[in-house]
Amino acid sequence: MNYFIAIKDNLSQIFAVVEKDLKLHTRFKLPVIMSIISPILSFILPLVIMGQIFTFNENFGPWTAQNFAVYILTAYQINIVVKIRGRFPSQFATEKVWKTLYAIIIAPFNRRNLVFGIYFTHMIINAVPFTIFFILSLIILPISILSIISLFIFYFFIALIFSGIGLFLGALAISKPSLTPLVNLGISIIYIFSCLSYPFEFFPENFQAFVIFDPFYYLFDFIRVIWIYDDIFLSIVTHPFHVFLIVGGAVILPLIGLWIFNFIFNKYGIIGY
Amino acid sequence: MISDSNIVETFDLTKIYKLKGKKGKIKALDNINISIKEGEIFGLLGPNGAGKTTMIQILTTAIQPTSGYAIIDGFNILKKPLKAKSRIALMLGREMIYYRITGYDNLKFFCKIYKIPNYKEKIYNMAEQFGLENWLDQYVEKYSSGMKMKLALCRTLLLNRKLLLLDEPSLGLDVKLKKYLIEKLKNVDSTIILTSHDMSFVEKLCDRIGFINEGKIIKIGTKEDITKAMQSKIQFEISINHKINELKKDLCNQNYIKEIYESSHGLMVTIESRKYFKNLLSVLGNYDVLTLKEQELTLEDLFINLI
Repeated sequence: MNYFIAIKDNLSQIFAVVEKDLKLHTRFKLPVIMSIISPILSFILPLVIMGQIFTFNENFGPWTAQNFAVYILTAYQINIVVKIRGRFPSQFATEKVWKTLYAIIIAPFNRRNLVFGIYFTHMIINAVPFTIFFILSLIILPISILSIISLFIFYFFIALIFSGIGLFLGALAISKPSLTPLVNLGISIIYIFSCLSYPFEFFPENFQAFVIFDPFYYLFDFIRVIWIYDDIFLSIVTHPFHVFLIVGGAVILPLIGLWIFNFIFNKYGIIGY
Repeated sequence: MISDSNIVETFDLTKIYKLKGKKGKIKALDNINISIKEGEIFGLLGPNGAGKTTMIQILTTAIQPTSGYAIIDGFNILKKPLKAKSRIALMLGREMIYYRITGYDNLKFFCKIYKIPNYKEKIYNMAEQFGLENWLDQYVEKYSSGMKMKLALCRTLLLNRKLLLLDEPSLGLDVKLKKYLIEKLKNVDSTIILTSHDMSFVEKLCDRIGFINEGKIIKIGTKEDITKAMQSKIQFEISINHKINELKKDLCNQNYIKEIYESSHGLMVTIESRKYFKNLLSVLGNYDVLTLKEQELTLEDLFINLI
């Protein structure tokens, strides 16, 4: 019975964070509308330019002029999901100034609920552009229901991984803001070789070695693999390392992120305000 | 009602901040040992940078002490921070509220994360007590300073904790609101620890006062205790018809006189101890004294004398 009460209490706290964050987010309507329109508009230009590449070469790996739009669309879907990494530091930095972060930190509730609250808020806020990109991908390259469900599960895992990274960045935003640009630079470099926006085959051979050592590449590539294979079992069997990284990362990184957050926060507290 | 049991105890609480570069360290708190009884209203007074906020931050578990520890309602803040936190509600002036959502949404959010049951009814009741019922559905950014303060206090009281930590609760409030706040806080069942620069506010509200300076508690007790302890300095206001300069000269020759100066009301004389009062009277007997008034030491005087 106590177990159910604990679950109810935790869910209530998570939803409280979500409700509050959504109300703060929708306080001014125009930025909300723009946050939906902007990614959709920004998708068109890369598609046009990158589409031209297939006039020089018929295909790059599995990607052809016919399905390349899916590559670009999944890049936008992934980008929306991994943007959660930036939500933690930006929200923590804002609430640090408002001094409301202090109120939350000293409340007798598990900081894990705060993480889930921010996580779900991000998902809800970005649900519209994500759904649009997802439906467009489905129209261009239809896949089975099982693949769609699998994709959502793996997107969920990827979001968890980036929540862990976000928590680490969030802790820096509170306690060591001067280090944030340095860490962001490191992450940006990893992004460059992650094949998020360009297929592996686009990279010159010398640079492909960097891609192979880039952990983000395996996270993002698996989403494309599911889409191209349209067979989740085959995708898993042929890409076990990808799956291992995603599932392992989804379990470990949020825990490490929370541990680092607690460690940095306990050591340095809220610095600057 | 003040009980015999302590709700807060600190044991050699010390906090050291490292200064940037090679400028050394600063002791924000230096071996603080205090105990506060359940139901008590305790005022922590001190100049800027004395260590008041550090003390509050440690008690709320927002920062950790360099050494020492505190027990809150039986729970060590270092070993059982969640349990200790569950006893505390903090008010940081009119901070810690979201200006971009409504007053009701603010209170609802905090009630939910503090697991307050039947919060809706409680929010409206509390808002009614503070005259905020018609403002609950408005964005907080539209509130006046006093209303924000009231909302912050509503939030703190709604959480229904055993220990309320109030940092500068009277900051920016007008006289009427201050009086109102004193009445409200006096009727709260919880133990209150407050910091303030407003001496009259603290004097009217607190059962006990602690003076803190440079991280050390330099005096602790009721206002009467502290005044008594400082009876070594007693100030009188003397007004006489004439010969004021002669009296001044006469008094200057007495070695028990600590201070003497003229004010708009007459001559202000400070003697070292009450035992010299008779000596003072014998000097005054030679003059045509109109009034002799003992100046009651205000908290402000005590504060200035102590730091």
